[in-house]
Amino acid sequence: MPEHDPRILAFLCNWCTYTGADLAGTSRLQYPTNVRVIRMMCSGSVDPIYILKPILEGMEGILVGGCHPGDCHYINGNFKARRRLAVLKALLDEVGLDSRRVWFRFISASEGRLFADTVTDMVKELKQLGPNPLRDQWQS
Amino acid sequence: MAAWTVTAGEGPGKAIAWLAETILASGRAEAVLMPLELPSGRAVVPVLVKQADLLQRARPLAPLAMGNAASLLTGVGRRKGAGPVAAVLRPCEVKAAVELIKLKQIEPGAVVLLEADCLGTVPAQAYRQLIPDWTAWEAAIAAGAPPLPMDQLRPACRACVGPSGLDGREGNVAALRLRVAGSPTGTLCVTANPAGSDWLAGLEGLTLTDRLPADPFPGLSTQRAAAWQQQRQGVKGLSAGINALMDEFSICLRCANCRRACPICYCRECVFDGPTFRPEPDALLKRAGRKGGLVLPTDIMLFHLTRLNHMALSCVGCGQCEAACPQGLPVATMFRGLGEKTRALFGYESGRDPAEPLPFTVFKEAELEPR
Repeated sequence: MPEHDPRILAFLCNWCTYTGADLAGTSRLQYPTNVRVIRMMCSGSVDPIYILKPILEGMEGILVGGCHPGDCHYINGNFKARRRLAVLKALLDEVGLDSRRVWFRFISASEGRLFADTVTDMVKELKQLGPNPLRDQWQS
Repeated sequence: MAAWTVTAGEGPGKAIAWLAETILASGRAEAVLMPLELPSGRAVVPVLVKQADLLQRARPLAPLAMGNAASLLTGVGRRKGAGPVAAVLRPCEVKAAVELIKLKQIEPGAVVLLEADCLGTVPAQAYRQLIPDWTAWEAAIAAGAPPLPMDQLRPACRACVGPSGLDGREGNVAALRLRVAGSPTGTLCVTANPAGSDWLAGLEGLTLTDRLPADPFPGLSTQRAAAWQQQRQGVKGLSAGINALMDEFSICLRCANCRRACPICYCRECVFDGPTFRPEPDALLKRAGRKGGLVLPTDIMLFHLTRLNHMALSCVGCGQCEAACPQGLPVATMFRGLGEKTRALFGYESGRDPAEPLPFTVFKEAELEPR
């Protein structure tokens, strides 16, 4: 049986994590190719529905990347995202979707290494969790 | 906390009607939202009363709530700078009104909340067979005898956390609480918060008292807590995983009655009615192709999970969503269960205080770690 290959959808803040991911690339850091990036203007603009929908469609993991506390380009979007994500994760656990599939990390524009390590760790954990039970489910 | 007894009128229901009438006559409120019995006697509905003689039909203690009356206040409660409307509400309706004030759907100055005791409500169909003898009914409530067996109540009422006088809350959220259950004089006892006290000052016919109603139903809160645990464990899927939950919700019609019935779900245009969920034909075919088939209407689970995510923090547990569901899905139980968990993250309580900010509007620099 082929090894389970998790897919990750990443919503990255334009000012910090997206630039950090870019730095990882230009620094030629190696990290798994399982991640698909969507650039957001702020982690605070990630509506939880953007996370719920891919999870219900069978995506294995969602990574939300924002600026470190105090660094948000819009002053406090990352703090608001943290509250929203905490509620969303409680919701996922409540209904039996594993909240460990959703990661929220503060990664700055200079932390290319941290971005590459985060993706590596996330792929490792998602492999342990196994495929999303809804992956081949047409019923949702 | 100021407290008065009202002895006017025969029985507590009439005493509440008298109070409303006196408030109207004194010009303290421009109108009163009050549950009135319809001429047929087969239903009690909230009525915006301007003409005092209609209050003869007031049934503030009727065991019927066909909707959460707080959502009705988003109409008349939007006015700024005009005389207030007084609203006689149940505890769950007062809490919903408080959440709607925070959500800026009700002007705090436009309404005065009067919280009447409630011992639970029955489904509207059952109420039509009930048609109680009002004198006996209200006397039973005043005497502290729950007039209906638990199993006749709506599920949310069976597990209600906030019947007046039992929730241990100090002081009033509502301007006035109209307390009947366990009243030491067998009539109406009115307690006021500071704002309510100022508003009521000088009203004729009230007698100051220091005798407050005692816990009228020892053991009822324990009984209700047990009922809640039972309901929560009864939801298939909450413990058995997403597939079991999807099985449960496979009979959902996506009618969105739950959304309409929810007093807190206030958006004028819901995301689920927008263009995102009216996709292009090609997009639908593509989705169907990806997994071989696509259930229509689409996104039933996404609808419920998104609503949970939007509203659980503010959920007041009135259970109107569940009462409105034609398929009998346990939506209210899910909302309340998740609400308790998420509110605990922020030390928040819905309907406690209109000055308490909604958790999504504020943050602390250090909290919720690890993420």
